[in-house]
Amino acid sequence: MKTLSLIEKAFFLKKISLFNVLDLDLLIAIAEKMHQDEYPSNEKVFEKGQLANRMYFIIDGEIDLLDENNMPIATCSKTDFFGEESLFSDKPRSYNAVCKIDTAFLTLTKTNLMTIISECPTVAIALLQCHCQNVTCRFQNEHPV
Amino acid sequence: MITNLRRVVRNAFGIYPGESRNAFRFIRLAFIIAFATSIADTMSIGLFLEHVGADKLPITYAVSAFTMFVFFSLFLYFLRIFSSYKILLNVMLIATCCYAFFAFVIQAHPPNWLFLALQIFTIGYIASITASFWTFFDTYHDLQDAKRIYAVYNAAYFLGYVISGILINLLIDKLGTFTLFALIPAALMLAIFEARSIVNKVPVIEEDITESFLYSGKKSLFTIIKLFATSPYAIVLVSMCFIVQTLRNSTEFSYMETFQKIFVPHISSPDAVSQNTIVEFLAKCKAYIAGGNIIIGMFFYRRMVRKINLGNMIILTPIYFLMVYFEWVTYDSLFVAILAVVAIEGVLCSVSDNNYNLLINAAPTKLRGILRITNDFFFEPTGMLFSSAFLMLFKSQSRWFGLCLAIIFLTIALILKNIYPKAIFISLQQNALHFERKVFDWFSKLNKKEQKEIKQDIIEALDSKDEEKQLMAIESLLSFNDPYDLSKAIYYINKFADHKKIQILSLLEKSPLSSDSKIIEMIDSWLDEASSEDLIKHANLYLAKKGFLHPQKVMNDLDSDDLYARGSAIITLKKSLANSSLVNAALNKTIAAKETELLLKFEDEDEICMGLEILSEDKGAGAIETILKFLMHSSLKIKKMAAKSLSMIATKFDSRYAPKIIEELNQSSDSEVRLHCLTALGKMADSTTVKEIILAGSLFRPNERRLTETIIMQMGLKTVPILLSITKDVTLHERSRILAGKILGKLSIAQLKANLSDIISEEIQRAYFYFYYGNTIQKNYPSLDLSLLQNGLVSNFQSVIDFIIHLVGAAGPIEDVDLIVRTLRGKNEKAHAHAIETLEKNCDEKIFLEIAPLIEDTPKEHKLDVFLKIHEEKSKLSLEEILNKLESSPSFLDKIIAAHLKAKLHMPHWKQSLREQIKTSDESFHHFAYELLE
Repeated sequence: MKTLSLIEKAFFLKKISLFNVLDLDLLIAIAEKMHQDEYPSNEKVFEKGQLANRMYFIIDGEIDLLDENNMPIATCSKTDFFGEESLFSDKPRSYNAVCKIDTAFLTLTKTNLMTIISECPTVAIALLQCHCQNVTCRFQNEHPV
Repeated sequence: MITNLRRVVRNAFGIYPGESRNAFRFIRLAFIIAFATSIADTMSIGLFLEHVGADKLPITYAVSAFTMFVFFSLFLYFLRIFSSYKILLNVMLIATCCYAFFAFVIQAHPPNWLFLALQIFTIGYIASITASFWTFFDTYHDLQDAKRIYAVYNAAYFLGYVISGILINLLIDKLGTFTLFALIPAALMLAIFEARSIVNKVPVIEEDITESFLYSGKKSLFTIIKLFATSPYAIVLVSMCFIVQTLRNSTEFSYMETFQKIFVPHISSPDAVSQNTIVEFLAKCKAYIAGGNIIIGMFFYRRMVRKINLGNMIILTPIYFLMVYFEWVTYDSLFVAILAVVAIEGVLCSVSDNNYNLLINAAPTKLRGILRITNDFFFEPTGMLFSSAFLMLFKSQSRWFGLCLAIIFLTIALILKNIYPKAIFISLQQNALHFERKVFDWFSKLNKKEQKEIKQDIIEALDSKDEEKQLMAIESLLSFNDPYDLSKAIYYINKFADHKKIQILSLLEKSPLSSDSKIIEMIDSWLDEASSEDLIKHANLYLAKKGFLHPQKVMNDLDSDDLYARGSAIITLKKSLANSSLVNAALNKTIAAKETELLLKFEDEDEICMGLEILSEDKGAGAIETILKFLMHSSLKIKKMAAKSLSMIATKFDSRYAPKIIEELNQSSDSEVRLHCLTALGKMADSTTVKEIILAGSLFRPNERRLTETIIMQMGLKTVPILLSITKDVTLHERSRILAGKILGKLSIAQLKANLSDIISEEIQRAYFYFYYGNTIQKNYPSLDLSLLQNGLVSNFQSVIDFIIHLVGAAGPIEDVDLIVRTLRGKNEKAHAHAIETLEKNCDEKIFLEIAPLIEDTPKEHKLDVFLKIHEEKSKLSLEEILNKLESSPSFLDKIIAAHLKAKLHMPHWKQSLREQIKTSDESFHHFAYELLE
């Protein structure tokens, strides 16, 4: 996949639920701090117990979130994000993230995420909304009724 | 007794309380690795000289350089796959096997080429172990740790050299080469266990810099070159390393030549005591020098960096080299050769290498991870290659060559000294998010090629089917403010569906090109072609605002049920460029005013908002007065529109309305309203309102604070006395004082600097007080619940520290003080260390020394020790004395905490003292005090 330019990153961020209310000025400022990365299929993005310092936004591809027994918890695809939980809990990663197919994503560091939240509180609210949905969904998958 | 002894040892080594165990793990590892490496180094070079000869050194350097280039590629590849620990482990394992092999082979009197191979392998091994060992250490330390403790690790490293030197010197004949070589794998195995224990027991320091080169992804040599090209600092740093390596080799060659001249005749004489004379002599020299290195590392380096600064430390080494070479080019002797050995084994190792460990931290984040490796495996070998080529061609000129190199070394060191402070801040700035920049600012920072690429991406986005993306692409294209791009934008806008064109209209309205004839023509054409009623209404409103509708054509719309049609008609009557005569124009304006008044009388939000929007096209005090009434409206929508209209029409002649706007600024919690109010106040530019605006600023968001700074700065120098008095006033909220201080720094840095010391000294005293008692009070009174007091003191400490840093930053050349404050508060230890370094480089030395113990990432116990050292008498304050002190503090929070706790703990005479306080306090305190008294 080609490396996204600053403006393309900003266009992509607009599709992410966390940032879709932000204007172009803010999106470009955030995009400038985003790092693009690519992983081949079956590659581990991170594993349970690892130290966490960044979250991931999928540009293209699919990521399986797996528990310690490699049982699927959830699958994230284009414009989804993952890995944010540990940034707030200050705890190591609580699940494995493995590429289902070749996957490209943008990453955002914890320091930058915190700065963005202090500048744009709407991001925190969007994050909370998404997180509440994810927690329920992942919990149900983990302990099917 | 033991505790005191421990404290003395810790202080001598610069180790903080609670850190000893981990520090000694690293010290042990450094010692063991150095022990093994030193034996390998000394034995290899000694055996090489005796079996191959010094004249083959240049070719050895050349081959070694090429070997290192191969190692470089391997290292880069493995760094992306393995952690620094695994690489260190592998280097040690490979070395263990190879030296074990050499130990056995040497027994069997091997051919001379094997000694050549041994020397080449050892050069490669030393570079690999040094790079991997320090990369491993970097994972566990930040810049401030490095300044404090890396010299101690280096000292441990030299201790390994001393012990191995003594061992070789005293026991080489008794132990023999086999035993000495066998000691290398044995020591390395021990080092592997030690490294393992570090990995298991010491926490890694957080480093969340995304762009680190080693952070995955496919990277090539070209990427590295590109990264270097963006950093002049990194280029100067590696140039210095290149020169140092060249100098190292030529100096080594020159002193080896001198030693051979002096020692080889003795070896070949029948009275020769030993075949290992040069090895023994070198080992002895290295042992003594390493002893000196230990002393410098443990006791002096850290203090010297503090005392004379890293910038000055950089130039010490080239000056020493220059002095040695000035003597050496004219007179060759054993003494000068020994001075040269001191230069290589002593000054370079104990000063220059330690400097390098610190200098590397100022390199851009993207490069930092690979700088050490690139340097050890590419630039230094290149230096080695260069020196070997020169020495092969001009052996006899080696000392003149060294002199030239020493001069170049000094020049580069001076350049580095100058650019280091800036590099440190740039490195920190890479973490900054530039929310203050507009799209145009981003694009204007790009070069022409990049702008072209960006435009291409925008065009691609316009061709996509994603509507949101298309809208953003249009917004981006418009932000270039380029008529050629406007034509392109119009081409695409015309292709859009009607509902999207409505959204485009609001984008166009904000654009500086909003009145461009091409845009007006385009919108005009929509009126004829569009099938959507909505689009026609919005297009009409747009054209009406620009004055392009004819009054006669819209007269009937004044009675229309449609709000947009009515709005367009009213605006047209007000603004039409087609008003034929003055009488007609006046009549139209009167009708428009009456219609607007009518709109504002409705209760419907939309109609009122339309009325306010129409007023925003008006000029004059009457409009402002009307709008102000709606600024206090209970509906947020109306409030926002009123604030927006105000921001559009306010002028400097409307300053009498400023107090009302400030009142709203204090009451409103909506950011949009506040931003519009601030814009209006900015246009009024009344310097007498500065204090009120800044006081309201204590609750502002970052973007609101930035706007406040801009508008007050536009008011000019007449605001300086007010700003200074706000900055000094300890009774005001810290955030307001920070805001005033920052603006003052930008408007009149001389005034701020002149008053800085007085303001800061007082604040530092407060900070120490809050910190010490915030962390000890509960411990001193375990039976009482003092959590409120404790939390209050700690949070006061943080506010005071923020204030100090902001003010220090405002008085210095630091552009983004918020970034430093945020970094100091954050948990990213490496960034924290950089923030401290930036402050050290940019603020007054006296002030920095006072605040450093408070902001450094040191254990709490250490900070408390510092407090006790400075403020011994204050450490004895009782709870009552602390509460009395808080009671008399100008801070409102302090007063409340003191009064609350005194009442809660039923302290003697608390009611009486509270009544006394009521007499001198403001109303907000009265409410609280009466509640307590009841």
